[in-house]
Amino acid sequence: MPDEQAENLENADHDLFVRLIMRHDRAVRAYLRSLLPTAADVDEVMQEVSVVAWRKFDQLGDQQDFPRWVCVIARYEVLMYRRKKARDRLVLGEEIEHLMADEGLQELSLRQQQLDALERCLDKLPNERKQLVLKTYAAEQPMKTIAGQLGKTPAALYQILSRVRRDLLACVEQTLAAEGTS
Amino acid sequence: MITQAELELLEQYIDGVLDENDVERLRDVLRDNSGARAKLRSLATVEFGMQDLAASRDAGSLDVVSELAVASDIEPRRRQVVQPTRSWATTLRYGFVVAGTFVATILAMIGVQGTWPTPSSSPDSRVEVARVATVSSLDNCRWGNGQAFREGDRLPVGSLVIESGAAEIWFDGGARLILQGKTECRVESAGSAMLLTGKVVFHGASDDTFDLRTPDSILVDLGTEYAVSVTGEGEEIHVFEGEVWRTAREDQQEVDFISAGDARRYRRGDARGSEQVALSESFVRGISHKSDSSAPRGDQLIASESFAYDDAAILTSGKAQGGLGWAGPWQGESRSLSKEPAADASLNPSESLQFGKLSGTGGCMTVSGNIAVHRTLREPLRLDLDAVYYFRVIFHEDAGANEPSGTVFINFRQSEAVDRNPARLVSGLKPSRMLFARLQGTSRARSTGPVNGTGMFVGKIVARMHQPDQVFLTVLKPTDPLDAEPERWTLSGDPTDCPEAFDLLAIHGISRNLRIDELRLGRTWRSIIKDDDLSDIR
Repeated sequence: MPDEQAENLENADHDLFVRLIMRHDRAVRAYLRSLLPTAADVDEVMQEVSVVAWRKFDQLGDQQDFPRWVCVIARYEVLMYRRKKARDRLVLGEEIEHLMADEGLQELSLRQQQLDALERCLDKLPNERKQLVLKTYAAEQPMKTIAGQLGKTPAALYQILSRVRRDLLACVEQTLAAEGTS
Repeated sequence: MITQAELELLEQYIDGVLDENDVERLRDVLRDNSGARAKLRSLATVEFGMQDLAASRDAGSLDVVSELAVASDIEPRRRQVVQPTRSWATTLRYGFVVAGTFVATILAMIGVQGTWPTPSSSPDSRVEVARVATVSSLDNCRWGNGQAFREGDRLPVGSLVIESGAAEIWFDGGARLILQGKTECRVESAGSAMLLTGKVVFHGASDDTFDLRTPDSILVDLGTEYAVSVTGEGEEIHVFEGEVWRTAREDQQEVDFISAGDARRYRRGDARGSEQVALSESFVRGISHKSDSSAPRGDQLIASESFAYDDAAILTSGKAQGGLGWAGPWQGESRSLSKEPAADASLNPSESLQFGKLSGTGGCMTVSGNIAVHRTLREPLRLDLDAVYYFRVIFHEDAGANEPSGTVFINFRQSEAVDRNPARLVSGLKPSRMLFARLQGTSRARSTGPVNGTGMFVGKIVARMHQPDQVFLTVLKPTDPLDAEPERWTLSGDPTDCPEAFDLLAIHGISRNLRIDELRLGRTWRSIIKDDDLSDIR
């Protein structure tokens, strides 16, 4: 194949890959978050997933399979990551992680629907509560510092966030039930 | 359905605040309750979604919400809290950040590989001929396709054909493959290969990723030793250690997990899947240095010195011309402010250091004070080409009850340096057994070798023409096996570009009572380990 033609083909592959990984990034990260104990772990594993998925991109058949295909890669990367973190007290164990990963693969479209519903539910929160949650999640400081700035204990702030998260989850589940998609 | 207490457990897991007892309780809940697992996935989605939305909505400062009241009946948490993620920009910029993360990751790969990482089905297109693996050992190997690789040769991306015998290939990514003739295998990158037909035994490490593909499978390992046999009818996978995940190339939803002690046969075109077979003993799982070599060891040893001299003061006299592979005598170097040659580089003609089953000859160099000696190599180390070099020296220090305080460096540099700051490769062992390497950048790692007594300081230099070079160091104990190079090097230096040739080897020692002996420099592991029969060296 002439060099220019090969280069154009390679650039097209790259563009397609970037579009696909950006389109499905949130769902894949949500899938990872259910398998990993912290957001930082998700970031770390997602980097590896991106690299491996690009390297194996020529093995993908149908583009429609991309989210499930990349989640299979993500599952491998989680298990490798888990081996490194075997002494982490928050590791759930191989048996449970297999169950979570397998069942999670069946729920990829549900993940996306939940994320879409979450945005609508967030906007239904009272403004003060919404602002607190967004600013706390967006802040670059540790929870202890944020709590101090608000004049509260970390435990108190944690309780607020926990209640809001539970309310949001209930809202998301009700929304999807009403739409007939849960 | 889950209880309120179980829901709280899930929330505390998401927040990272569970103690070990609660983690155990959580495992019990999740193991038996699919509803709890589904709830955990939903909670994790909400948690991730909150971070994602906070990042994309440019939330601003906390000052606005400082007046928010909190209920007074809140119970305190028990453990440390989890930090929220850092702030992101607007949705549009977030999209660029995601793409940028991906691009940065790919650029990092380019920085290591020196070329755009093309999909693995076309490794030879648009890529310079990169050398990504080394032939580390051969056992009566007869190559096919007109190939004639020797031990120590660096391998390019491309096809390998073995008609008979066996070859051990060490990939730059850390994995080892032992190919057993008749076999055809394609080297695709530092971390991937394709077995087209024949037999291969794979040795990997738990934190290195290596993709081994066959016509029907994609194999991923976890700290594994396994064998694959591919024929026209299908393939077999035999797992000796660790675990292998086998994904069918046709249907990537089909994944088999094959554990140690298990073996499976996959017949091509058979929709019934795999069948279990007996673990085979017919695979070549290792090639020791005692095996016959297809090339005389003399071709691979570059230089050696056993310090077989009668005069204890000969090292700095300009008359020490023993050993092999040198273009001149040992010379002393000043290590003091006076610029005079050091007087403390001496020999003990009657003592030779022994290391395990390796017995030394001649005497040994003694270090008392701060000394340095150097010697010109007949054949320089070429870091501007594709090559692999190994070097080693046996050392002994009696540190008594104290921490070892001796320092020994093996340095490589240019005898006629033009630049004011010439390139050099510095490798050594500092007090308290800290390994040290400097090739443009500096790397350090703590050795696991002996604290007192005798050790072997070993180094490996991987020189790459089109990619960064790399230095590996370790210290071996007399009880460590020497049959093959270490599977793990204690210090893996950062990849660094250094297109130089070094023709000077220097030994620098600082100690009250350090002895050094049996210096070897060669192109293969085998060449620096075997002590017998040096007479065939040029």
